[in-house]
Amino acid sequence: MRAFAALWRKEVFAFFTSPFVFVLLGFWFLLNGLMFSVILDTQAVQNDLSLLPPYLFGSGLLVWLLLPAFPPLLSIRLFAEEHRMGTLEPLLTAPIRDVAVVLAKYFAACVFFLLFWGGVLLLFLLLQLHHAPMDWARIWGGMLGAMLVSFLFLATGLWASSWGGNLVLAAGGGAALNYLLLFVPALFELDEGWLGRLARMTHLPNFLDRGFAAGLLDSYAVVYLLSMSALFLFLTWVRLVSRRWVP
Amino acid sequence: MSRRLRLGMLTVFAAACAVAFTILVLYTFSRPGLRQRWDLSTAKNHGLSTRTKEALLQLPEGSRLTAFLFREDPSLQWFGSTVYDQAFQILRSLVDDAGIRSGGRLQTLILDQQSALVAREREIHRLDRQPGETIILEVGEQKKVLAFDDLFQIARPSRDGTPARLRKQRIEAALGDAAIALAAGKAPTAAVIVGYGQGRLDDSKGLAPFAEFLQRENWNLQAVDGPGQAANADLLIIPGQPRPFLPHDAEAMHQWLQAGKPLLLSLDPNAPPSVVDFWNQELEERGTGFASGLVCEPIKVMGELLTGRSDNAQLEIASEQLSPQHPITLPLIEAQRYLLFAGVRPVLFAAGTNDYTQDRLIRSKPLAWVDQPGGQLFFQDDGEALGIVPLAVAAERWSPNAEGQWGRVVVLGCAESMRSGLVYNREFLARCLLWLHGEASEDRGLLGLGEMPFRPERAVMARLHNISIFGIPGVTFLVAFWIFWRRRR
Repeated sequence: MRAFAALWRKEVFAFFTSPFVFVLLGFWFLLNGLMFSVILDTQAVQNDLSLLPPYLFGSGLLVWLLLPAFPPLLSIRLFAEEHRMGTLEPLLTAPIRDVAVVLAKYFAACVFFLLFWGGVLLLFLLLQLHHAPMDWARIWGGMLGAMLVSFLFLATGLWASSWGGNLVLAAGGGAALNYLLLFVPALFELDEGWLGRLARMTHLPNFLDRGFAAGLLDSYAVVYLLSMSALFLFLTWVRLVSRRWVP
Repeated sequence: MSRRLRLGMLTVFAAACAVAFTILVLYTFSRPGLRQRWDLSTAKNHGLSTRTKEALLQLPEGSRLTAFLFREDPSLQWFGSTVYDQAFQILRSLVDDAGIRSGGRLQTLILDQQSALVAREREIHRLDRQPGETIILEVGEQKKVLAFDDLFQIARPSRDGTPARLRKQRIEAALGDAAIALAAGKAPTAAVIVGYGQGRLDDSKGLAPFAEFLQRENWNLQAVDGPGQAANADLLIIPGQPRPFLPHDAEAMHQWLQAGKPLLLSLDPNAPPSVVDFWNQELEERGTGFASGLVCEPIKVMGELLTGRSDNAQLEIASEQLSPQHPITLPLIEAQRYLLFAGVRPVLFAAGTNDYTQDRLIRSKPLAWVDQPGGQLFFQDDGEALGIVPLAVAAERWSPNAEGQWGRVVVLGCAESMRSGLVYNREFLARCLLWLHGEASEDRGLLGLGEMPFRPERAVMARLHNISIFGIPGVTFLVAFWIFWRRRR
């Protein structure tokens, strides 16, 4: 546990002292700020501000474009960078269990990603400061859903990062996986057979749009997002362990 | 087998086991018994009530709910109105919730403008969907259709630029009512009298469209020669009556009305006097009946009022001519619907006995007159005074009788409204059927919808834009530069 905590602290520190990560954060805030401003300018949202969380977290560009792309960019440095720099082997031979390595890196990325959402929360606080009426249940719901989705995307990014030392493959592979998780269910959502049912049960924007961002907490959506994250963490662990088995 | 291959297979096996375990977990948690939903929103209007949940659990396996979220009324989008955005957001959540709460009995499908065209057209064709219909609930052969106006109460846009507003919604209650009605398994029976010159129910130029319309409104149809054969029906419909009843049918009709059972009656101007006399006698205590003649209105063309044309007998009925007090017409007024009646006989709207209350559902314009036989056709002759003429009247008891019947009657002066005029009057007739069956109660289950308007000054908006686009990202880029600079040093 102490080794886990030490590695987690090291990873968090590494995030906070990386200019690349802050540039990434800056772009995230910029794009979100632009989207926020555009949505706020629409007459519909000015007529009813309760539509802002669904627009921002549910069916908007944030979910379809930004959210799948940013977490893999953050997670490339976790394994792929270490592999490229040659520091992965010493880490894997250090007296720390592989599962602790995976979890420490993952939770460090998750904690840092809270900063990404903190900036978005700041936008809502800004509105509150200007005496805008807010439905905080929907905002918190939407934030929670978006956070859980981003944690899933971090897990896929982490898995892609464990494939090797190619940074482009790690970032691109993670993003591609995330887009697949988003788009494949959307393609089959209207199918009448089992494929349609499966697609509707795994359609991430629906979880956000019809659930979290509407202030509804759905136990299945939470379990889906957590268990899929756990699956990709396990696959990352398998990949790391198999490096020892198959050099 | 090499060690490398064995370990490779072990890796694949471990991954496959993890995937299988995840699928098992997801399958388990997707079971209706284990799936929970908590409504955390302030308004608490995104979840279903216990009554509706129980009703959904009574539905048989294979029931289907199709929601059509189409923005069909342009006026609801004027001036930046959020009516459709708000409405569809609630509908999506509630339809999803209905699917989950039904314990797998109800398959839900939401179609919107972004859905694949093929899927949209397939469902529209399969369900024979009409514009404005938003939710169609199917149980076997039975269907229950809920229109947008049935689900929402809307303040229409005004000419001064005020956008339409969603005032209240009753999706939850309407869905519950529909589920209860369909779960009962048996649709109510409407007996349509066809034995006195009304024509056949399968005549495509006659009553066939009306018969289809009734089935669509979830009524079991029973074509009967006379009231004597309709004793077991829930509703009696008389789509015009060219010949008087035989004595045994007249007696059966009298018994029907005395028992307080519901009746939808229409007569056209050509109905024989003996038929009119019969009905005036039967409906006297309800304060209604029929007068003689043909209701005409002048047509306004380029500022001139024209008469002497057959068009004078076609009455365009604006929403102002509908009763604002009655559950049949109130939703039509709110939706600003127009009706079209052609060849209308005036209806009596008089004082009945104290047991009944009457409402004039539809009236003519003030410039209408009643063309009497013998005079010049479609001209206002001497003795044919201008004035408002009742065209449809609804009557019911103040309280139900011992059998729980309200004695509801809707009297229409236009039999054509159930034939070629059906297309213009479907919504009105659908509301009549609901009311006669005791389902049209607009106030029940209505939930208020609060809006959160935010219209800041330009300076405030500019400040919000500056902070969100330049302030927060700018500070972050500065931090990135500071870290980079520190690391270089």
